[in-house]
Amino acid sequence: MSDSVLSRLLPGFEVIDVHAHVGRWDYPGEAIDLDGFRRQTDRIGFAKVIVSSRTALSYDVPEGNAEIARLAEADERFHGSVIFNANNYEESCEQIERYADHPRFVCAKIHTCMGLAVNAPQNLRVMELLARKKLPLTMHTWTGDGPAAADAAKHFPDLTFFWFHALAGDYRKAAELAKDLPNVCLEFVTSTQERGKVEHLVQHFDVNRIFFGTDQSLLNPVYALGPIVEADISDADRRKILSDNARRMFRFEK
Amino acid sequence: MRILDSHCLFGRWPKEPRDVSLPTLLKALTMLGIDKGVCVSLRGVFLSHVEGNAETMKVCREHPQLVPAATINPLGYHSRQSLPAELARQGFRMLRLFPHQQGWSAQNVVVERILAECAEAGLPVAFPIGKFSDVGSAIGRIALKGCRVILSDLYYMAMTECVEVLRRRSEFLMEVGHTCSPGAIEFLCSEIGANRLVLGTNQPLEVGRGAIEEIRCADISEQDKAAILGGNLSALLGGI
Repeated sequence: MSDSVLSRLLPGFEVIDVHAHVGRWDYPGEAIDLDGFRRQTDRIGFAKVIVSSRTALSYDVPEGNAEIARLAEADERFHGSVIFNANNYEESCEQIERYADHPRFVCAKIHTCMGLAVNAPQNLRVMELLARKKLPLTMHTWTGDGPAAADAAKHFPDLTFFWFHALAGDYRKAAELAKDLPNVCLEFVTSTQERGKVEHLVQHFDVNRIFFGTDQSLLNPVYALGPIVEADISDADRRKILSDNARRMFRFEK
Repeated sequence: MRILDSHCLFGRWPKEPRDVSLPTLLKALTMLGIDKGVCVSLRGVFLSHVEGNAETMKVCREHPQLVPAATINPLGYHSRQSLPAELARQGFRMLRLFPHQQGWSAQNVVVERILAECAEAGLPVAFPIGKFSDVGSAIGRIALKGCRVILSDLYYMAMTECVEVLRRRSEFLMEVGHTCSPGAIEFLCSEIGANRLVLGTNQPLEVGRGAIEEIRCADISEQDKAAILGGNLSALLGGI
């Protein structure tokens, strides 16, 4: 930790990254495999990272989730997020059943790249199982996805939803919509880093439901740290966003 | 290590409630440790490039940490005189274009004319690329030989295309700021050279800290970091 990036940028703060991926992306840069992911986490200094698989996200769900299980079982810093693709209901249920009670998996994830709106009937059907399992659902939410994301959250008031990217360019809308949905949490990473976004979310939403994520290995985690380092908020709020909220939500022991 | 930012703005942002005022820009530069920022008045983007350029020059004369960049809206550029030549004479060090805000594209022949006139005037041009388009390829095809273009505001999705453009156009440079995938800086240094990368953070619209730290933390030499953070931009603009 003493030589890590965090020790320079956020001295004294513990950081839990709730939004990360392992795998190769079709863009130039470093392909982050399991070993690369461990090395990167060493270099940055994150205490814990919740990881889903790029392979599962874009191609083969069982293969990708199994890869995440291997990573999480081998290193206590890493926890799994089980991806499902609701275009295949049986496979989705099988994957959730397999990993919901796995001690190293703490949530599930869907992405609109699978061709379904987050409130599509296929997704809602699988969410019934997640609600029964009490497994929080993280989901990619982008500009324009607000009504669909809110609709899904209203369908399942006892299921915790994480709106990753906080609706991107619609982050003000995300704060407005989610404020009255107590089962919704926001994570705000995007490659366009609007000045004032974190401050707005803290001011207009509930700081106890704001989480830090990097979207590594798509984005460089050093880059993703910028907005929370620069945010004009109290250190108490910064601490909640960076780690306290995640420890409470996912029952991570100190 | 001097930090020079090629991509700064000031004024008003009519589309959303954003504070991009001059005091906010100056404060942001100080907070980030940026020695100088090359800036454009948003009056020139959203209202009139004539009025905006005059405002930019006035403000830069009053604030030594700001370096003047002009802008031209191709939709309103019909004079037969070369405005880039006049802007260079006035002391502008760069031209920055705003297709997304003004509603035109690189296919507009007036853009081709502006790039040609900038080449003749020796005025570098920053052209925004964005995320998913083939704008970089278009600019690579239409810019006259010798036109020094910074492919600006480009995201990691457009990196491969723009690297290919830079391989074909040795006088082009690339702005790093949104090229934020892991290992991107190392990749770009390896493929096109650190001497062709300049920092641009879109101050004060965006945070900027991540873009700077990404360069500081990159696995490249201190000399290359210094070049990307400021040396290359200074050399491009004739010393700032």
